[in-house]
Amino acid sequence: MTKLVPLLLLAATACTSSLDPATLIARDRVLGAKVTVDTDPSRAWPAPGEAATITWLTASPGDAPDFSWTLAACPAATTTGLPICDGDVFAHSQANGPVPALAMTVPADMEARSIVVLGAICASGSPVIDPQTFEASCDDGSHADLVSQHVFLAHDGATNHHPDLAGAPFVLDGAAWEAGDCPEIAAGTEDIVLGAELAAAARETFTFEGAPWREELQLSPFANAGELDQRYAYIEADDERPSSLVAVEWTAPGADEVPAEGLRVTFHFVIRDMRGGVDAATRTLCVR
Amino acid sequence: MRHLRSTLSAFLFAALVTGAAARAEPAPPTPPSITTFVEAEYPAAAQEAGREASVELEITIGADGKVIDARVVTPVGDGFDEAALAAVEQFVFAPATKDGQPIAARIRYRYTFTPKPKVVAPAPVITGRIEGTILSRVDGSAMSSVMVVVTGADGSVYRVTTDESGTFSVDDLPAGKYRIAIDALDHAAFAQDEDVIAGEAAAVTYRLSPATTREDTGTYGAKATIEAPVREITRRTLEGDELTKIAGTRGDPLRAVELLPGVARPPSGVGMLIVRGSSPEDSQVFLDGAPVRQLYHMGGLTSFVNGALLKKVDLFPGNFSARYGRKIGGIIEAELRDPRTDRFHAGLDLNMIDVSAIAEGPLSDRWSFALGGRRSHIDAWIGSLLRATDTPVAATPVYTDWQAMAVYKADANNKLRVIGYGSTDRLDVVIANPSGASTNRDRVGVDGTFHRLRVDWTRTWPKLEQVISVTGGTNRFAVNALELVEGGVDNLEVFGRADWRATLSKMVQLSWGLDIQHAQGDLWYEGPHVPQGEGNPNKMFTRDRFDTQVVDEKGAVWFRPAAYAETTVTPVKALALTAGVRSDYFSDVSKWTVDPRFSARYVLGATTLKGGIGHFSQPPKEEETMKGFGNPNLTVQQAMHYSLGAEHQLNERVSFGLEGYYKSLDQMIVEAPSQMKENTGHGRIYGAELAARWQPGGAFSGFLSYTLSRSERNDGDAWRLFDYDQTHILTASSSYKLGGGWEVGGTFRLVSGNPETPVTGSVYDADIDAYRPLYGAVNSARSTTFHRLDLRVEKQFRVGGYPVAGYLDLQNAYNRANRESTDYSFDYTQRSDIPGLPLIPSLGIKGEI
Repeated sequence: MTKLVPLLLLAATACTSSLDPATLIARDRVLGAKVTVDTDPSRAWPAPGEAATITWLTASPGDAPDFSWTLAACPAATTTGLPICDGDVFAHSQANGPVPALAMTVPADMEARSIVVLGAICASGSPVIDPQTFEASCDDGSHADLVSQHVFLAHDGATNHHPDLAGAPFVLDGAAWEAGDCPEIAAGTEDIVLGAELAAAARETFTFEGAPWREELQLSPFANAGELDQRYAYIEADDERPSSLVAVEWTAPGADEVPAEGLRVTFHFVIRDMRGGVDAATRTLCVR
Repeated sequence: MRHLRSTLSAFLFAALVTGAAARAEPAPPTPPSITTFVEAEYPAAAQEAGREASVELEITIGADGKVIDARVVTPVGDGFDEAALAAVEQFVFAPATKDGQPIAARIRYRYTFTPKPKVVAPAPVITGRIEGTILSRVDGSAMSSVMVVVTGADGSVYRVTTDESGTFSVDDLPAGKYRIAIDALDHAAFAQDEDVIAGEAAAVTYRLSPATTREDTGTYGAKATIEAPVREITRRTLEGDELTKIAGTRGDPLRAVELLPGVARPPSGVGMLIVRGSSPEDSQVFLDGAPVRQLYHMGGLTSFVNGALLKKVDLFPGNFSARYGRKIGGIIEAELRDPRTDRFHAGLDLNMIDVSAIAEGPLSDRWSFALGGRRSHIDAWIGSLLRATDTPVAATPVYTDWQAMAVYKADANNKLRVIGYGSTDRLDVVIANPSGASTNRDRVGVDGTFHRLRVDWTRTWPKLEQVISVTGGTNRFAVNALELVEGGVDNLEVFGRADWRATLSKMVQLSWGLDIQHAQGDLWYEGPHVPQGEGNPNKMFTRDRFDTQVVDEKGAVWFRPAAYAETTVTPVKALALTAGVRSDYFSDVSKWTVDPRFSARYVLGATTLKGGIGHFSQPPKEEETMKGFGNPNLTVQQAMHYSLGAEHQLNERVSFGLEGYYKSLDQMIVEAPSQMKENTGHGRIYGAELAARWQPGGAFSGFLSYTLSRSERNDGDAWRLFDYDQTHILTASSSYKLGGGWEVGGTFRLVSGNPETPVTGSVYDADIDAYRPLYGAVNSARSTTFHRLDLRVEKQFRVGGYPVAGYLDLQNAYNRANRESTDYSFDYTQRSDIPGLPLIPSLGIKGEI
């Protein structure tokens, strides 16, 4: 048991280095994947025999590029962790466009608890995956994101719906923050609280191995400038409040980083219910 | 290049400082010493009555070494005063010196009258002899006119006085165990047990430490309490006085073990002992024969026991005695000393990390006691430091430890000790949220506590010694981290041992015993699967609510009894053959083991050849067999040790040693692809150790050690390097008394970097919004070479007549940024080094009354 201690300390202190923070959109990136059942887009779990589309959420520091991708789906050996197939690939997509996606129909006789989608996405060039080393690259030499997503299947009537972040009210230091607005912020302003107010109903209850559970929500914030203080924020499973603010703090870039005409900062928020349900939203701020 | 320049600058600076100090200081003053000793005429009546006495005199010695004046300070009557006075007036001395010039001096001298020795015991068939030399620990000079009292196990007493060369001898001693007691003026009382073998002479050398500080010679009384190694014996023993002065250890003897040959460098900030390529969990530290669960306080800054209470520390890097078991790596045995009985002592040591205090002394003629305690105060200032450096981590490490001892010496053959000790650690690390809104997901909390009570009884007979001990206490450990892991252990542990050692004949010695380890308690854990630690580059846990291990074991029992026997046969004087066997039972795996061991030593003048082979067994860790957490079907891990080497004693203080070794490990516990622990691993470790030591006793002392080793593991498919395989380990450590109370020391280490597993890529896991690393071959790369210089400066002086020392211990003196591990960016496309501890000064002061 004591051997955990150095590992945990390492985990705790590893956050102190000066490497690029995960919350900074400094390159074209993948931020998540959202599964929608074609017949009911609110559902995150397709049933065997149903058609579904997996859409990859992306962000760019500038204009969105035309992504190219190669994606495949297969029955999963596990429900979490590295992607390991436990059967043949049943859906595949190799294409390019603004939104990487894989459309599939889950085989009706699929018995696995989940499927796994894996592949590579390039912002320029086309992805190449080395089948021996499982390393990915883009054929123009640029960086490729090797990606994976487990998708739970709705067996025996079980289901899961996506949380609703896009429709939730956003707040900026206590004030409403609407999509399309660009509130002005002074350069260098510190500890600006930004987040979303989510009703308790956003978190479903469910049964797992015979025990009642309630979803917890994980918010991943991203910005293309400034500094966010946390990589994740949570609404805990045992949060009983009728409405909870899930928020982080952001420090605006300094005056020396802001051009004379001002800087428009785009925020991406992705929320997960940690069992396949995902939603995303964007907001902007204008820094002067 | 910048570091190289820093290194050279540090060396040049040290050399200049040392050289300047050496030039600036005059030759140290020296006290007078006897060159001609005249034996006093024993008063006839007192001789007849068997009376003995000690007369204390004050003698004034001229610059020519002759006695100018002498007077009795404490008259005892019966003609002793006059006889002593008449004798000392005829003494001739080497005069005292100052700045190299002879000067007059006044000293106190105790003349001891001892009746002719009486042999109380029946005349033995064959007798033995003790011959010895008594030296000053300060400068190594011979101590003449010192009374030596030799007491046999049957109560027989022999008294002799050392001659001008500091030597003495006692003839016609029946074989058996003897207690040697020495009470020299101005020196700490000293006692030591020796074995006399029929037909042989036991040659011993004792170094006596001053009992009081003499400012002019720069000795320091507080550390004189730590008894010196009492014999020139051939094993890797480090004694307290030497260990508490090693640079970079902050005076901690158990940290100094890390510098010995065969011991690898642990990662900085993590206290662990890596002995001859073995996992830290495969080695065991014993305190007076009882296993210690937690050697270091958290963070590895210091060990749990106050070094001032330690008598010595032995390292057995392999092929250890059948007395020790349940481990396949190495053994470290720390031995507590008895409290001082000459008078009451109290000491205080205050430095930037912690404060400690000890008190000890006699309670009566037969009882003595010692108390010690320590508390860290790093929590008082580390928060400010972290804030000042904009580190988004708040940490509050707090540790305490305590020791208490009462010793009852009923007679020369019976000793009872009651010892208590314990340690508490608490560590809270919070990844700071600037708004103060940090949650449990940003917090690591660790608490560890253990307390022990030990009772041991030592009984000696003429040819037999018996030690029976029982150690019991509680262990509590709890961790709660990042709301990811919660677990702990809460148990009661008892360890009992009964040891017997007998001299059966001139050629045969036998030891045997029993030890029993029994633990009972609770273990709980809730968190992700704990993967294999060693050989697994991915040491980060991932939160998964739906794949959580939950263990809540109440009243689990681990019962591990063992019996052992060992005999040493000496067919010819130069050859000693030792064969032993140990049998263990492990209730947790329902397994008996039998471990035979053999070693041999052959003495060729000043050179000793040695070799050994042995079998060793180690049970799984407690939690590894626990249902729901480990695998109840695990069995015992096993190892074979082979070693061959030589030792050479160049002179009384300088020795060399060279030893090669090979260890094979089988049935090692590794994790199968199914995540189940199995006994399918193997290991092989081989290497050589070279050691050179310059024993304390003069102005200079130190040691040089070099280890060449390779440690490999096979988890089931291919051989790979062990996580802490270090091909080259070079350590040089020395200490030098400059005079005037100044002492400087330095420790330099040059060590191969630890193996590393390269990260070849990553996969973005959209389930949790995190990148998972992809690794190349395990431990197929190696970190950069580690080197570090530690310095220590100590100045001794007196305040109000009490000895005080101020010291500065500089760890990582030239602030080398040694790479300890690697930090990666969130997507593993960028990396940066995580350095070890920076330059850490520890300024302290200690004193004694």
